[in-house]
Amino acid sequence: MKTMKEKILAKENLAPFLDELLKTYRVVAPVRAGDYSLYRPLEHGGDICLDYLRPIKSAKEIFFPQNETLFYFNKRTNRVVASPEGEKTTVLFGITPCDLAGIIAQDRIFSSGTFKDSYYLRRRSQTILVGIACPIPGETCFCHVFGIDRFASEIADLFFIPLQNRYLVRVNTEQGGKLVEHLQEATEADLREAERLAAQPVELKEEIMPIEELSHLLSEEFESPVWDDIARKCIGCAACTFVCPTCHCFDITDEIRRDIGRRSRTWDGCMFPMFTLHASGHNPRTNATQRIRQRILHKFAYFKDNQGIISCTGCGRCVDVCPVNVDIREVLKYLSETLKDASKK
Amino acid sequence: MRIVKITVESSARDTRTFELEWVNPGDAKEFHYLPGQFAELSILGAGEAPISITSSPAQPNLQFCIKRMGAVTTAIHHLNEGDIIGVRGPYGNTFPLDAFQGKKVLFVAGGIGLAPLRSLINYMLHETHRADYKDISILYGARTPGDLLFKYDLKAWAGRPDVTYLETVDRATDGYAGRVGFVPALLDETAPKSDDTIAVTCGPPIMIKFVLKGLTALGFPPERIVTTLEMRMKCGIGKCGRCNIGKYYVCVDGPVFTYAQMLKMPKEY
Repeated sequence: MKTMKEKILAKENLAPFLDELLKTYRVVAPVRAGDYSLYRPLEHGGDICLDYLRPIKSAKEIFFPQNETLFYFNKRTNRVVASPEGEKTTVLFGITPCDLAGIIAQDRIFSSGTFKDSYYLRRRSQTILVGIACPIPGETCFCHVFGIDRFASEIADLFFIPLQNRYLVRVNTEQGGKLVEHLQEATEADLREAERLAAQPVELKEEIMPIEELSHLLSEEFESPVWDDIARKCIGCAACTFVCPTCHCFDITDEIRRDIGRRSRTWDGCMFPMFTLHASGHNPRTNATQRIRQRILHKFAYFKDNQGIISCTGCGRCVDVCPVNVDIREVLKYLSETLKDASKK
Repeated sequence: MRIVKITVESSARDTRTFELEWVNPGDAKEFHYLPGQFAELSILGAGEAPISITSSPAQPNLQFCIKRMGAVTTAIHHLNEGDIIGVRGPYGNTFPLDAFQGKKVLFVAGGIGLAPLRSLINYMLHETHRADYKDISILYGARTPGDLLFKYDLKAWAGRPDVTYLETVDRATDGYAGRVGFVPALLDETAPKSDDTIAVTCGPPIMIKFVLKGLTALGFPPERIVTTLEMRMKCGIGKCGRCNIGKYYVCVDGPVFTYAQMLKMPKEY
């Protein structure tokens, strides 16, 4: 990739900058929704809300919506009509580093193997990614465990770093560069301020063994009694899977009224007992222990084996939303300790 | 695809074979399958269900043997000849055809577990392929005589000099004079030799469990026992995330696995 000049955008000019983009693009960015924010299409540049650490739901829904129509049909005539496409190119603005990492995991799933997911890839290829740095992680954040850079991203077309009263804009692709052509170039002083910000110490510590090592040990621990301990609190609400930037499971269902209907896909989750229920009544995962083991092993072992990366970004959303305080950091710590002890014996 | 023939297979009428032809004959060229693969069958308004292909690729039409179990299979059972079923596929891996070359093959099937094996049996017995394999033995069982499926094929197999065919039922009904007993018992009783032989088994989980035990006792190494697994599926293409057993996805890594592969999987199926 050829290096391009960093640009500068004054914070007070962010809204007008987005308004300018809205003339050509669909712009999706965090907007206020009650007591939190969500990635939503902007009507006006001024609707953007960067007051929160991160939107309550991850950015995955821009490419893999919570519910989407695969096609419409008429049952009487057997006619099938594809859901409309050809939306304008989307600029997804203000993506946090943890969500950018989530997009990498989603890309692996939907674009790998013999069969690619055309619905996902269509949206993905029509989107320009604009990341934003995360100078101060939140209480439940643990992205450092996965080595996520809070000040850069390999997949973002543009990356914004908030300085005192302006953004330093790193340009990673030509496509991104076009959006900021007209902005003034950054000075040495701007670059130094960004470096200072990135070097600022933040208190990050988790007593988790190196994650690659844990991942390696986990694949051998299917029968371990630790899963029972971990599952004890879980009520199987699957809230963790819905806010997760990497969870990709879905259901496919039909809705019909008289002869007209649609086939849609909807987020689903491995924490639901019905998820694996066979038509015969047989269910390979009947209890919470099996289901939580599936979720943890999928993220930290199976995904690594199949796709080469761990599918957790340390965003901490599942910790925030769990109604019974299952804390994945505690789970990883507990696994670390138990497995360390076990491997010593 | 259009239904050209419906064959009621079980006396309870809850299992039927649907034979389908392409509405657009050109689509046949896009649908190359081998024994072991499955397809997602679609009924608009009811949804999709993964069903193994029971026909042999040696024949022109596709056949699916379907037991009425859930919403989609019930909707399919309500269809008549001439009606349309959507077909997405073929998906999944195939039986290891190369491994069978020049070997004896032992089939052990229970109930509707015969459906996927039937594709392979009829493929092997086809005149263009028969010479590639040595002795073919088939052990088949069902709950009652009325639950024995594909009776027309069973009769043809039993009548062939180059096939050993034995059947059993769990429970006899009036007029049945054949063998009574479970499939694993039939296996123990007939004690087929394991030398130069590959065993292929499919049936209810409890049957498979005892058949695997029986085959092992007969000296079949895990690499020479082949089975086809079933899990709840939606997409069929490795995305929707529900058919995994450990790191293996039944829809893309399977449904055909050797017992050697199964021994490496967590017991979660």
